[in-house]
Amino acid sequence: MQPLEQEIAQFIIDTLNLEDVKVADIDPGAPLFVKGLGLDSIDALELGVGLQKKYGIKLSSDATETRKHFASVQALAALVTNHRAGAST
Amino acid sequence: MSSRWLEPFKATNAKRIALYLEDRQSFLEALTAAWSLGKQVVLPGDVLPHTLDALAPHVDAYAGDFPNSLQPGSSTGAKLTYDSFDRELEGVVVFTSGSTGAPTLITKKLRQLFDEVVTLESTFGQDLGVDATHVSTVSHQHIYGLLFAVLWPYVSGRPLAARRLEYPEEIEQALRSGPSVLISSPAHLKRLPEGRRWSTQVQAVFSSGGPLSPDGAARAIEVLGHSPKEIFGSSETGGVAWREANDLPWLPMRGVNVRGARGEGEGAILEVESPHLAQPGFFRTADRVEIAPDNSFRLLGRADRIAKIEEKRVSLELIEKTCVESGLLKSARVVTLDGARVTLGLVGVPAKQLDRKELIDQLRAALEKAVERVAIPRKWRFVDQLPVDAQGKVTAPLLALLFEDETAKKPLRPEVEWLERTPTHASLSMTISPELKVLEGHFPDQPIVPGVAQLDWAISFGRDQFTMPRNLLKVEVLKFQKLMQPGHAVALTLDWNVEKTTLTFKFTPRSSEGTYSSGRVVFAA
Repeated sequence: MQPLEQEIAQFIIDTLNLEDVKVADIDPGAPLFVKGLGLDSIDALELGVGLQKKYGIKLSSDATETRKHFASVQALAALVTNHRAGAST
Repeated sequence: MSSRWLEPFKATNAKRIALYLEDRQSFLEALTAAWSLGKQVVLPGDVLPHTLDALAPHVDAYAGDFPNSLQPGSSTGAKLTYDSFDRELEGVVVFTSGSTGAPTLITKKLRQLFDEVVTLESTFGQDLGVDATHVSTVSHQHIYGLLFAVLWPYVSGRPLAARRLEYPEEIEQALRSGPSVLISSPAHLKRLPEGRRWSTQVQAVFSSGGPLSPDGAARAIEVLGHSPKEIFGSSETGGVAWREANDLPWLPMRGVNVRGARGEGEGAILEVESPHLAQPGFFRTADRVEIAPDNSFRLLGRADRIAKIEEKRVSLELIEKTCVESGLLKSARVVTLDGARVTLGLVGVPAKQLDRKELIDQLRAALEKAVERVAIPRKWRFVDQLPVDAQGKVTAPLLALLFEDETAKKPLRPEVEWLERTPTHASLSMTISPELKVLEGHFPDQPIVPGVAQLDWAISFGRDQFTMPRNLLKVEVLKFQKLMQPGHAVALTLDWNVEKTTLTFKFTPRSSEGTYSSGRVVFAA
């Protein structure tokens, strides 16, 4: 797992207060919702709030596009990386 | 409005049609087409296998987003207005969770629905322009969304949104694009992104499904600029009462009478008389209340085993039954746990020898067929037998005790930000929060992070990052040089030597010189 992916996995565990889940248990490529971790739509809202708080990421109104970033730890890590690249230029 | 559903509904003999449709315009056309033909529409709240099994005996046909179901035809027919239907037609059956686990069917005559919508318009309509689109974050398959997001705009002639909106960014977009009214719930309002007032054309905000917390109300005002009007009601009663600020008591809606009946536990059991009920007379709810002389009231909780999880009505018995029938547990009890999000905790007696993770995975898989995802327990406690009180009863407070450490505990470790993470090196940044458990009891006047806690944090964060053996052999060159106290901004560096199975750590202040502590921890390879 990449360092940023590990960080994102930890962010998910902390934000959602998940019991019985460790960073090492989360496959960065596996789906977070429904299958995989089995998160629900309320978790998606919580993660959206958390992303804004921790990384300053505001999701755009093109919902189908932005919510693709929630598919997996890898996708979220890519979102954070892109945001940082955009923010520094 | 003409309807694309007249054609398929005319072609079927079915009298009772199950309807599940995400497309809201099509949903309304299907409703009105069915009613104009004297047919009944049965609305399941979801399309889970358990729900569909329970639905089957009550319907003759399926329409909409079911597999192999009736689909819309071409647009035909004259305008179907709400006053053209038979008011006594039992036009809607709402499927909802009953407390025993079997779904409850609630039949509504059209007059109940339309009269209620007329009350809504006379109570709240003056705040809304004729062109305000009814935007909602709630499903119209349930009574609240059906009334507020579909039938109210239909009867009043206002536009309705194309579908339910789930995420803040889509809600903002919808409220910005024109005059609008937001039909929402605490789950969404309290999770609006903080810190910025949206620029919207929203004229009113409604919340229902469960009480809105003061924080949730404040967030809605901050972001939307409106204090939500909260509606209290149920599938059985329709709207019962409302309030405009969430520290006020509930005021009965026009035409609604309330009274308290004696029941077990605190307060009285709410009974409701309303023109929107199917029968005249008082209907007994499962809500415990305290009623003031002016008939306003405060809610004290539920008197049955239905829990509201993020406004979803969840039968605790259904969850318990499903776990036991799966053969994985001999017995099971579910309790609600308060927190940032209300979650369920399950206490179970395992029937099989499985490791914890495997058991939880299998239980989750079994539950996914029966209940919506938000209702799946988040915390699990497996015991040899359920705890009983002196009378031999399993009580909710006793069960809750098993989760107490989790819900009430102060954090043992600080929240950290990982700055670097590799298989052999990590650096972290943290602020020492005054909440931390380890600060207690050392020196009452001068809380400090004890050295042993710093050592524990180093090992514990080390385990988060490196693959370290279980057993510790010895600690070398351990030094404590400076007091670590609440409010301090602290950096931690960790290095893992794979060959020597040694963890080296160093806590330093982030913005000044010096070292709090450092040392080497050697593990048994």
